[in-house]
Amino acid sequence: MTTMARPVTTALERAVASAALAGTLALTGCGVVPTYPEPLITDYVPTAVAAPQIDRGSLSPDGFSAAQRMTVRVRNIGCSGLTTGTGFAVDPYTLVTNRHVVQASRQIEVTTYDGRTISITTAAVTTVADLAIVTSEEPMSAWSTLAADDPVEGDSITVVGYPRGRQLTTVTGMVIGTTPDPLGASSGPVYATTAPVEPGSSGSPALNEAGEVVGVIYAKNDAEQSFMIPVSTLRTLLDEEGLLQPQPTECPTTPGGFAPERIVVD
Amino acid sequence: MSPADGEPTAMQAVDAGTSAAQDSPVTGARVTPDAVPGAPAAGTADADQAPTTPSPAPRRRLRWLWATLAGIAAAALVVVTAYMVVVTNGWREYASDLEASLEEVKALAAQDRADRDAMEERLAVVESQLETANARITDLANEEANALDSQAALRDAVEAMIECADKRQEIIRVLTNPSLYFPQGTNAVRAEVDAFCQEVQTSYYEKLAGE
Repeated sequence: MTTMARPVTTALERAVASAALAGTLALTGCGVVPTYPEPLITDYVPTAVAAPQIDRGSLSPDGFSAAQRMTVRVRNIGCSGLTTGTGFAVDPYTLVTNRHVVQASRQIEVTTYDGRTISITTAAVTTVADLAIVTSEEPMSAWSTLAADDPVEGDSITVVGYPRGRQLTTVTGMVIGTTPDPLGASSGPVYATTAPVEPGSSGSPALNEAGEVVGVIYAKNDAEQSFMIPVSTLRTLLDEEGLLQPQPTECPTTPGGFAPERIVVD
Repeated sequence: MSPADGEPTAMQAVDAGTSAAQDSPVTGARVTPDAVPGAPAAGTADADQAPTTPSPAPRRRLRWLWATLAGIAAAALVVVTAYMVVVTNGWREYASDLEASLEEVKALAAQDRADRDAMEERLAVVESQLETANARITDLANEEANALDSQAALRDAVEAMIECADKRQEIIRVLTNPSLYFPQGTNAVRAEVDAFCQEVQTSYYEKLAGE
């Protein structure tokens, strides 16, 4: 009986085994060695552009704020003399002021922050509060936004107006609280504030921190407190045209409204 | 006693054999420890032949395998080394380019910062000029409004004076024309007109004094 020896591997088998082993090593090596760097980017342009945030709603091209541009000076050429007050626009053609600013007038003239005179078409007053609505012929360059709610005690307010008929002035104050109308002109409560006002400031808008109208200044007392009609009353007036009545622009007959008569000879 | 050629002694059998009995791969018969592994079992035809040395084929296969592995490893090492040199040089160049870009960006950032500072200074100047201009506009608007107030007040005063003059003229006409009279009486009318004219005059002088 002869011993069966194992056959010697052929060259082909050796070649195949070597290739397989070399390939395995190559694939393994490619996973662990670092790759060649990508070309350096030299003209990177970011997709998100940092655009400057400009609040275009607060300033006009001439540098005045919206509150200044919407506030007007009211001149009442009255039956017994001339008085001035303040008003403000609630839309391009509608101005709000106090009733006592426009009453007993023969002519009402309105001027803006830059000295332009606005022609007035109609003026109407109400008896529910010391408020009046004036309609202009020309559109205003800015108008106010009415706050949704009345202010609360402690709220900061800004008042823009023409105290004593002088320069456009901005003052600040704080809401003290509600009180019955000390003049008895409003059917509802009014708000007392610490904002310093003068005669001529009547009709000035009181603005909250968001720049919305929260009241209309109409009076002050000896304790240097100012009083304003709340925005809720103003909204009611604007919504109910039936509460308005035209403001007459005729004065009573002047003294000496007499005429001589001729003696009749029978 | 020396063993005959080819015959295992008991001593050889003990040293060369295994400790346990094993089955013979050829015959299947159990081999006793006394038998030499690989040696033909006692009683077989090859039992009388001399023992053979192991086959050289397995050792040749192992040498070939190690030689092949070594060759492959060496080749791989050479390739990897060359690759690493190339990659290293590439990254070195990349780092150099990156540094150059960084310097360029730093220079641009410094320039932009300087431009921004200059713009801020310019903006501050313009804002100051705008504030001054706005204050001037407010003053002019106030002057114009007050001038128009004065104009309106003077116009009122003039109209009132004209009315005063007209009323006095009417009184003179009645006094000089016997056919005319005032129902209220001439003296009463004259008193009212005088009071009215006095009020107009006072108001006018007060207005002049206030300016």
